[in-house]
Amino acid sequence: MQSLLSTISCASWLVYATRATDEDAKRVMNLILKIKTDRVDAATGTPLVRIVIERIAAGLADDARAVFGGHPMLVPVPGASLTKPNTVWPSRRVCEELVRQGLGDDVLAIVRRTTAVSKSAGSAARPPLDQHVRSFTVQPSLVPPSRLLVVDDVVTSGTTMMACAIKLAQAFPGVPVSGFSLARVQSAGNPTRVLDPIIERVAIAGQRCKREALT
Amino acid sequence: MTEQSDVKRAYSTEELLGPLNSQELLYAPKQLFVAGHAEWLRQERRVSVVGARKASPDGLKRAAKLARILVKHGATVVSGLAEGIDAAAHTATVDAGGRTVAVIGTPLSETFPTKHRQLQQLLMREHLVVSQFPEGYPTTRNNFPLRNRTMALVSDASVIVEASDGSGSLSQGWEALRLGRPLFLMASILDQPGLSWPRTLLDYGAMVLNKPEDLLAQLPEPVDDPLAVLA
Repeated sequence: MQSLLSTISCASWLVYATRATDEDAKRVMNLILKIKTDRVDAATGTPLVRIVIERIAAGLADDARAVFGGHPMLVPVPGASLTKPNTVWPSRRVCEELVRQGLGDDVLAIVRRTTAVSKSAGSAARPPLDQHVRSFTVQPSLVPPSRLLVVDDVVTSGTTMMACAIKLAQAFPGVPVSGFSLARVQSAGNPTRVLDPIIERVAIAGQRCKREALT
Repeated sequence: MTEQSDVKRAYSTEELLGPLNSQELLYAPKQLFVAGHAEWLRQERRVSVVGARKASPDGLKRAAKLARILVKHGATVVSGLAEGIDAAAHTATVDAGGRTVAVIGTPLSETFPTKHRQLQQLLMREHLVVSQFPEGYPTTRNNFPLRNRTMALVSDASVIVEASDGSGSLSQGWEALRLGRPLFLMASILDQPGLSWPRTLLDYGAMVLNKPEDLLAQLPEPVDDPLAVLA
């Protein structure tokens, strides 16, 4: 596959430990599952995604905040499936709340799925990178972006995010593309910290991608 | 068929379910009429188990087995009090000592089908029955797709056990997908030849239920103050 990208940086804030038994890890799982359906906090009437992003953003260190520097346009990653109008789109909600906190210039929902792929999380047959790339289309943007940040709610291997970044790099040659996810999956054990903003690298490894620590 | 009960109450939907997001509000009824444990609608892990009225014996067994598994894991079983899969899910839940919610397509004082009157009365006394239709509202075919949307709204996830093309359960499936809630199709559905709806729903985000763990993993596990993790 000819690609303009082989790696992208990917920032994330929370650790989504899918097999954890620790109470804080369960709290994160509870929050993420609710954010995926855009639930509203019963006590305050405020969307949970807003509360989470507002609270984390308030304590964000300068290096973690720098991810949103350079006036990026935030591009939500589409889900694995086709969607009808008026469907909850969690990564778009993350984008909207980031912009509300001044983290990003605007939301550019220009990547769409034209064919469904099998769902990544929990699926034994995760779709390869090529299939993800083929399943996306990029709609034209009225405003030429100077920087693009691909945004998801949860990143696992980063294959979906990378496919989205590849399509954007093809559509906007020369425009820097990086990634952000509210949470990153840790598939084994209890995490040391669940609120842990870091920047990793997503690298293509054959037909999959993998997240790596920045050296 | 008509009778009055002093346990019935009307609530605004948000009073009952908590505040809703804009997509949830799009088709949420303004009011819900309830009889029984209304507080269950504020507790987590509610799963709809729905399907065909004219269900196969295997379908009835699968619905009952799934209901028992859900009870074992502390989930509340939601269904529509219809014949077939719905009744199997409610009955198995009651028998297993679990909690069940019926979302019905008639006003609370009426029952459809009438042969489920005793079951409805039992659920009104000891479980929960919910209707969006005020007393005197005519019961027509149009009520049931509306009821199915409401059932998707009150459920954290939905499972279609068995359904034919054009089944009312599909309108619940579509609404669950629109709300971003997990929708599962029992794996045995894919073995039935000639059905067109499963492929379409899978393309739009439904998942195949091969083992109950897949469903349980999609349900928010109750925890004390999840936002405390951000303190």
